[in-house]
Amino acid sequence: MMKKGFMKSGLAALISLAMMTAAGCAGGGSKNAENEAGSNNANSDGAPVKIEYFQMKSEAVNVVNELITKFEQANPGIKVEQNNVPNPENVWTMRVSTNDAPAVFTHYPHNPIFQKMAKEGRVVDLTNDPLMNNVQPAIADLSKIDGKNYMVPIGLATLGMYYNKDIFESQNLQIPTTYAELIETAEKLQAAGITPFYFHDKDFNGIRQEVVYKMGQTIPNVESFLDDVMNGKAHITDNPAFKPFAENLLTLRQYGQKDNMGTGYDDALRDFANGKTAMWFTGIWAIKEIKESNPDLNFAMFPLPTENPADLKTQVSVDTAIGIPAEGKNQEEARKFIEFMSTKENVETYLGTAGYPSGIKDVESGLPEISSLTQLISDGKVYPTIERLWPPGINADVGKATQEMFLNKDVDQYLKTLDTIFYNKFNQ
Amino acid sequence: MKTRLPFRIISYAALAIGALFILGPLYLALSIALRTRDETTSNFFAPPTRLYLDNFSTVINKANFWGMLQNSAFITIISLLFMLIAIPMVSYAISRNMNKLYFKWVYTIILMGIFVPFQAIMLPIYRHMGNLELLNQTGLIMMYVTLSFSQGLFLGVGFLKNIPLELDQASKIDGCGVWYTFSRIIYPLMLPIIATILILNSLWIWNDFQLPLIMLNRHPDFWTLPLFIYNFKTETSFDYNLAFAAFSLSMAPIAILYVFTQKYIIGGLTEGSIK
Amino acid sequence: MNIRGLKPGTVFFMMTLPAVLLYCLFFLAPVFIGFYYSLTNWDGFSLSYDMVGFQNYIDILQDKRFLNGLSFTLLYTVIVVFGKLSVALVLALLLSRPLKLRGLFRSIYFFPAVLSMITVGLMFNQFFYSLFPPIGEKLGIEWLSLNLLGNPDTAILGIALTNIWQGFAIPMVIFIAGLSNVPKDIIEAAVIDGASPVQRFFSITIPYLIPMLTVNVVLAVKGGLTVFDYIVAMTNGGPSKSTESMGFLIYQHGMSEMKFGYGTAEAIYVFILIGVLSFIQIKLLARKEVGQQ
Repeated sequence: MMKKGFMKSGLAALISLAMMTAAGCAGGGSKNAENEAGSNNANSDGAPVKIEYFQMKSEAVNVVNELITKFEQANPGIKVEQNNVPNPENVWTMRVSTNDAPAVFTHYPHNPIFQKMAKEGRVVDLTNDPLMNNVQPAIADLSKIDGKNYMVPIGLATLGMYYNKDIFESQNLQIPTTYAELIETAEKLQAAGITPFYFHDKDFNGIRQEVVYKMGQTIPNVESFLDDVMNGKAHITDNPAFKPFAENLLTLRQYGQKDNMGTGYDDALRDFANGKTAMWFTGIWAIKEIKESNPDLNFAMFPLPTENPADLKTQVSVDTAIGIPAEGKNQEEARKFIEFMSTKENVETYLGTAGYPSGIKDVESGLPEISSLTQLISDGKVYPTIERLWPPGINADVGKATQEMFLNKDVDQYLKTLDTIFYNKFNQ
Repeated sequence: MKTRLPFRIISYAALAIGALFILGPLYLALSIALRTRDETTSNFFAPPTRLYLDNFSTVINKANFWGMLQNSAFITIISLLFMLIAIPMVSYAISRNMNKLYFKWVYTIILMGIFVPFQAIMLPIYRHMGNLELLNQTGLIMMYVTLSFSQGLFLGVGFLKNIPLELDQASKIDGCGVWYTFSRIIYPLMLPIIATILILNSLWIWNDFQLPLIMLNRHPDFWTLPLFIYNFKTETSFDYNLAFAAFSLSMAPIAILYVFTQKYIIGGLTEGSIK
Repeated sequence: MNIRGLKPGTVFFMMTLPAVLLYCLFFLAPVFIGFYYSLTNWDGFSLSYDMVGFQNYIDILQDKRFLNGLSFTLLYTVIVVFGKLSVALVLALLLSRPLKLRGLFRSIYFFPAVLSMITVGLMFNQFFYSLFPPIGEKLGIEWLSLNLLGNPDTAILGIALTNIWQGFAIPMVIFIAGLSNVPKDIIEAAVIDGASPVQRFFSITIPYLIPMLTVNVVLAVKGGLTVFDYIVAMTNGGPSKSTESMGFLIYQHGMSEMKFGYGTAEAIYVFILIGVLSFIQIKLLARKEVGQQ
């Protein structure tokens, strides 16, 4: 009995091995081979076509499911499967480079790796495509990569200062409109025994977002200057605007919680929601989670003030943009789905929960909490995120270098480090 | 040898304090999971006052918990089945043919794998498996079986050195073939070391995070429990209670199994390390 | 398949086949592929790349980040090996005494070893923010009143403590096994000769524990040098690159910073490092073994 069992299993192992090897030979050469599985259209036997919607916003999972149900009712021949994973940018790159691209996906046009993949022709070029018809022209421009559109921009993101309205009221504080007023507000709060700011400086990513935002907001002509630095034609240490910029970052930390270096994004979010701090700087993507964490919190956002109120502007980046891979399956159905997702009505549903500003024409969106930010955006007082022009990896290095500066408080060393990060990057 | 009373008291006290360090964090995790958010905000350390299970049901409903549990169990069991056949088989063949060049080489080369840290081949594995279209559970199982050979062979061949060759010869004289000798006589004798191999590998596979991270992190349907817990944390960590409910849930299956099998686990490891 | 008709040599050969084929296909092949990519500047996803010879290997030796990672990993390994093994040895000695409840204690102490490192790491990450600082504040211990993981000087300690909490159990069991090997009659003879417990420990117990110590040191060193899960769960390499272990750095370069070729070259260095260290340890410790085994 035992003998037979063993032989059988051994045999099975051998056979499966042989199959593996065969698959290995076939698969190894298929790097550029086209996908065999139906690159086109509905199956002839009437079974529905399945497409995968790989979307990167975890807070949108529920609303996307609603929209998918609606889409499937209108298009009985198509089944859409939503896929949302953490670290989605890595997973996306991984899948596209191993010929496993999802049929429809969202990505960020400012992401350097996406840009590189798009330029290599891994993504369908949608410039002047009918799918772009509904997009606001200014936003279409904003999301161009070397003059071309590879995705349909649906939603926009910006960052700002969250503040606890109850604390502000109880301390009789006004919303600061200049940087000096912001510091003044913080001092008053501190005097009253309230922590003015929370920082989530344990994650370099949060620092990166703040630094990129403030560089774009406060340093004049920063884009062209950094371009010169990356071409080896200038040094950051020679630009007088960077020192005050770095000092500002440090100054604000004086009004932060004691353990800012030990606080992660989630911790800060939870603590802000529980009223432990008056202000917290991050993106509008936290709104939904703050409300979930504490539905009773009375809060809103204001734009990060500048030295001079006339210079006030806020950074805008495309936060949801939908595209199709060049070698994707079922492109026709994928297009139908994008068309559906970018109609005015559905965009309103999609953006409604988080209150994101829209990239599509005539869409009413924006929650009351962020009205001051949406106002800035509709007034055109915006600038695109400057990191869209940086090669891969630089923004993470900037975040980590700033984190180091928060620890050793050495501004000059920080500027030198920044210079080594950027200097001559384009020629390396 | 008797232990004197004061010494016994000191020993027990030391052991009890140590046990507190082990059980404390686990107790805290469970007690946070059993409370609502408001209850933990007011006092982090307070014990749960009632049986509040909503956090667990939220985690289970929100994520496909049973599916991930199934994935973990499936991957672990199938990998072990393959190992339990392949490792004793190759160990036996090698231990009885050490004087032949082929077997000696196979032994040396596979054994050298002990010195290759997983991270040294992490990136190429990902690329290689991608090319073979094996970035899925089948590929993962193949990887586990492969990576178990170095240690398995070390333990298996070492153990077989203590099983006298006379047994083989006697069975040969009785007219039995190699396979028969192996499956009927040697395999049952190897059971103690097989148990050790089983325990070591089941703990490793069940808890492994690195291989699933590079091979299965493309769709939630593929995830194993460690990958699930990492991803769940990334998504909803702002809710303490949910996060700890998820931690507790992911520890539960192995904890339950441990209660019933701890004697064998500890015994099996002891056995393996003496040989 | 009629096995009876085959020569024994053929059957033996066939018995090695599953292992040999799998090993070649899924282990040796990746090793060689890895070496090949380490000679390129491939980013991991582009369609084209160039051969750069040993440029990556040269660059790595001048890369401050790699050298920092290396020194972090080595320091971490020393802390963890020392911490794990001393806890394990003390507990093994206690649990080898004829105490009534030792079975129960053994089970309790072993439990963390069956948990996954990622779960334990994530759990302790939360504790370091919300459990330890309040305790530190109450006790007036300044360094404990902050998140250990938020400071480059203490983050290594936070990770190591977590690792020790979970990792002492297996060496403990191995030590217990070694202690059960110490022949009773030798100890009794020593007692009659009037040897003190300390003398007995150093002259009898320790020599018998050397083989176990070898196994434990080799395993613990390998575990320390390859630390990855805890880093991902607790610090993500931060603050400011201060806790980037070798394994984490390879993953980071290869999978998210898109320096695939560079990452594989780092991996080759790590391979060489661990190979050499393991070899030295086994040679050194094997010399001290007594009798037995």
